[in-house]
Amino acid sequence: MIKTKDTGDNIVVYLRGRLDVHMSGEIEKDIQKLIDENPEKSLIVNLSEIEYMSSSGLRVLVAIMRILKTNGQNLKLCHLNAAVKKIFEVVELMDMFDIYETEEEALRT
Amino acid sequence: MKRTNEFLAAVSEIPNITAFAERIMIHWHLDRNTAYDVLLAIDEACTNLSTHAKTASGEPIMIILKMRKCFGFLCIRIVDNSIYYDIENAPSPDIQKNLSGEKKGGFGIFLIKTLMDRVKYKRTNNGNVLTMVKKIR
Repeated sequence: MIKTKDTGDNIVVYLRGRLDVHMSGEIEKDIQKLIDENPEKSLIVNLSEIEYMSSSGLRVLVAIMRILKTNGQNLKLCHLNAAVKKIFEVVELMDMFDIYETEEEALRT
Repeated sequence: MKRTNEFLAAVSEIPNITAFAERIMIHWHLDRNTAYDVLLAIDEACTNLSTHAKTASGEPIMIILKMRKCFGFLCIRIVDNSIYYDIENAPSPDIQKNLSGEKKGGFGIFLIKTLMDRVKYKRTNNGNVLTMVKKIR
């Protein structure tokens, strides 16, 4: 079960633990349900409590971004730790996502 | 400390596989960044086997993970009994196709090749051997 916060125009999603193949399917399903129930809202995914992320997590974030864009909404990511940021850099996805240092910054922009 | 272990190629086993590798790397006092790269490479290789690989007769796929340290290098060997898949010649991921939904994933092998210093694949009579080498400090 993912933790969320409704801020009006956006929903902040707090992911924690491991974002690997074992967990990514369940997280993708939960976020898909959240999008279906809130089609008019953009998402901010806070990754501050992600300890570990593999390409399965990356694939989920790409899928969420695609669904939100189709709905005319946006996906913002914040609080990427060094290891998570490295994966984005290696696969050259940093420029494809809206990435912010903090949740406050993501909410402001 | 045990440096070789056998696992079932299953999504539910991935945390156990990475935990086994992590324990060895903690024992060897590997720095955090190197250990993370190695864990990720092992995860990606075993995830591919768990989600895509098949055997000719439908028997379960088993993964043998061996880790060795020598002369400033960490050598990771992943042996499996699945049908041939040449990781060395796998195409790079297509970001645009991923973003459009035409294709999903393909990042795993790319990450392995980028994060490791050397990746070697060998087909044997019984399956495959993937050897990944990472320089350590």
